[in-house]
Amino acid sequence: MTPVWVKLNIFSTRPNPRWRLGPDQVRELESRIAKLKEIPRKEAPPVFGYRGLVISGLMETGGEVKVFKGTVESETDSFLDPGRNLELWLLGTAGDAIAADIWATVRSEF
Amino acid sequence: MSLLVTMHVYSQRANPSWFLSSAQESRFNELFRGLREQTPLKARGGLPIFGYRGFAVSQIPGSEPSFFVSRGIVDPGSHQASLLDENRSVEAFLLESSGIGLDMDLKGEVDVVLQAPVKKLIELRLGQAAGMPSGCPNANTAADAPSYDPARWNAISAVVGNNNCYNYATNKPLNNYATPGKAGGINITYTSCDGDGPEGPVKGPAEGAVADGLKRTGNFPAKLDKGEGWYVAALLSEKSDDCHWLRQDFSGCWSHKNGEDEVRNVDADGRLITDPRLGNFGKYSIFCRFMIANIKVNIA
Repeated sequence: MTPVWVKLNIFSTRPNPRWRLGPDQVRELESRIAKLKEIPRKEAPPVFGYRGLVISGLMETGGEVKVFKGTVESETDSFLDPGRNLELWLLGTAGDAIAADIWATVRSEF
Repeated sequence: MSLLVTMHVYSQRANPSWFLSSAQESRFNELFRGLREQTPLKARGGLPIFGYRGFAVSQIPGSEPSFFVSRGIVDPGSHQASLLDENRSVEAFLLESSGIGLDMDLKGEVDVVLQAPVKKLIELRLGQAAGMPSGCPNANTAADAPSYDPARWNAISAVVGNNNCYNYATNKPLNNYATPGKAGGINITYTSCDGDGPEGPVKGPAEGAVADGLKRTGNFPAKLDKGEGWYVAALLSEKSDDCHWLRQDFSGCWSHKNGEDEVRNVDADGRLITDPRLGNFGKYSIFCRFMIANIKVNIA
């Protein structure tokens, strides 16, 4: 099984924090994604600072899934994440992968 | 050699697959050749939603599919344009080619999915248009300045994910997520542009860049002749935890790569970047300085 990693997308020069999901967490993630509703894709201006989470290892094609501000995007599709529930759940899987000062920045976004 | 068809429909269970007969293979090629309308959309890379997701057609079992067919798009891979199959004839044909080997209930379910109008699916997925730079001041300032070529940086996910703003500004897609100063043998912090000065122990990102071969300049936008490099700009985060780099393209406007995001030529307000001192870059609100990069710069 391909390992599934989640990355906190927050820096520009510095490497972003990342952590690996356990098998139960991957099943939970797939189940949550399966319930999302498709929406039109929109091109937005770049965001600086915290810009969500990036999941790798989940796609059959090797592509990444981005989760930010109520939207879940693969290379080709966009889905609605009502209440940012998936984003919050993913942040909850980070454990100690995110340092305290970075947590403070992320919390201020909600 | 027969083509192997795999229907992508399950999450945990193995997906059903079958070989095409020679006659079916000829029909598949005939249908493919009959498609005329190109589309920028790809059939690969959809979210792993449960249920029908499309067909992969492979020449050799276990190899990368030669074609992926999904939602009215026939995708022959990253080196060729996808083709629009408005009435989903290729998908319908591939479904039918399964013969009696496919569970009839599943076949019926997919048959219903294939009735969805392609136009509506396409409308859902389209909606992004790339703006070409125009009205850029200081065009052709630097003879060596790279062209704005987002496809070079954005087309392959490994390039997007493994190169940051410093790789982009120095025009080196080395997939090493470079840190200023690392190649030059110094460690930096992000508390200020120049740390605590040339003699102090704390080094900033500009000092790191100098160690890598970039040059400081206070003379932007003086003309740079061939061999003299191109302008880059460093911005510091107001939180003193990071910095952001931009580069001036040959057009005279500026572009950048925000960490592991795609290369863009607009700021946070969606405006073309004509001067990095004036754009909105969110938390990177402290202009650090202009510098000059060149092809001899070494980053790690």
